[in-house]
Amino acid sequence: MPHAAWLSLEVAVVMAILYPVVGFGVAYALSRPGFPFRRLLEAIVTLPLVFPPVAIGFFLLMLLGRGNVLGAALYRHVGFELVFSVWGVLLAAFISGLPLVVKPILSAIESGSEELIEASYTLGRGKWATVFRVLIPSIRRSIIAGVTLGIGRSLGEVGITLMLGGNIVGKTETLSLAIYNSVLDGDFHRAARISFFLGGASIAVFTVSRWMGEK
Amino acid sequence: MTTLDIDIRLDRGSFSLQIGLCMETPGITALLGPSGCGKSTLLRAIAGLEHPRQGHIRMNDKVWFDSRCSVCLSPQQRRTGFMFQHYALFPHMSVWDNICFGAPNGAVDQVLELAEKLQITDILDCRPDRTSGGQRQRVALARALAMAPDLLLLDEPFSSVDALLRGKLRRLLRCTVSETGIPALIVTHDLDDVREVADWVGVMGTGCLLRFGAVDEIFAASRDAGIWYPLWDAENHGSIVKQRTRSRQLV
Repeated sequence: MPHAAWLSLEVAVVMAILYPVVGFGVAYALSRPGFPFRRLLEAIVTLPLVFPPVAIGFFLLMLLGRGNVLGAALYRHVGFELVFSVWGVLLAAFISGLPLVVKPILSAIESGSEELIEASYTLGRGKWATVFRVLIPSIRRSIIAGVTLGIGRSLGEVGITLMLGGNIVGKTETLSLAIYNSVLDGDFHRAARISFFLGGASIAVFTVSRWMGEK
Repeated sequence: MTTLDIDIRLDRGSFSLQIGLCMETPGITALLGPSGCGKSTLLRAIAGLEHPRQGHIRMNDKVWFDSRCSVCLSPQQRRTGFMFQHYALFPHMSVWDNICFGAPNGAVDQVLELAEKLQITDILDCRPDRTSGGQRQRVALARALAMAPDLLLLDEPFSSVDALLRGKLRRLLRCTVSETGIPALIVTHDLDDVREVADWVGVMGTGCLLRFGAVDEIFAASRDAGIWYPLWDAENHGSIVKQRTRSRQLV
């Protein structure tokens, strides 16, 4: 349990760093009409919402496993093994939560932000100044909401994590997997304890993010 | 004296805008026409927010757009003060920060003077969502003027305020623009806006300019204001007024 809690905390911290950057970047790219491969990127980002997580995990395992093309190349050239490691857990968490980060940010950009961007341009500001001084601050609530949803989703992720992380107790077992394992072992008291702990942590993250959004 | 020389063709899906217009005019020029005729598109093209397919836009001796020479200045380089229909005030900034956003560094006194002129000094610390529609309109005008633009572009500036306030705001706009001496182009579909605010008026049909002239002159040409509606109805049905579609008009 302590290791699973630390690993889940690690996942939450890494996602809290990655999601605002990648989520905003992807949403901004998708909001630009002239962006090449826009449809493809949108499909890739939306896929985890409509595709069964276990199936996604399975395909990624097939792609990134050491015995397969991409995984073998990674291992041979960089010595990096993604599946059945913490990296696999982080990738699984990232993939599962990303759509929930991108969608609210994209929706915020598309509903009214375009005029703010144009106003900034006519007032003499360049692209970067407009993004950092106008766009991001004006949609910060949506960014915080999206990141909170994404972290919540990544903490509760089981399907992809099971496939990519391998569910190795003491190594790649997250709190959600610990609940799953406890139920499989028939230890319902332990499952309840972890569930309450995970639920409490999620509510705490949600409360803090709401407070930040209102501030 | 400001010269704005426009001759553009702009396609947007099935809509096509083809305008030839040369204004040598100080003061306020209104573009009058029904919804969807391309008034706002023309304004956006002048500001650099839309890219015409061909033609040119020249402001005094400066080329803003010329398809033959592949010149297309960005909105930042054109220095137009654009007032959006729904104002586009930055919601996370105070009124003061909004106005100062485009103003040159160290222009605090000018911004304060502008705020006093537009009677918004008491809301400078407020966020835009804490102000009324009329106040937001004045803040947007102050922001557009604070950057000391070469040309002021106003897209339906009175459409979001109630009728009672509209008259007051029209007078305030007229007075402020006259004092600053910045030429302004205002888009509207309201005849009262033209009558009370503008010196010159261009009447638009779908995607083209039908008439251009001094407001008094154009109004005098008809016994009542209802003449405008047959003008663009006629254009839409292809029966009369076709003569000005591609004409370049010099005032």
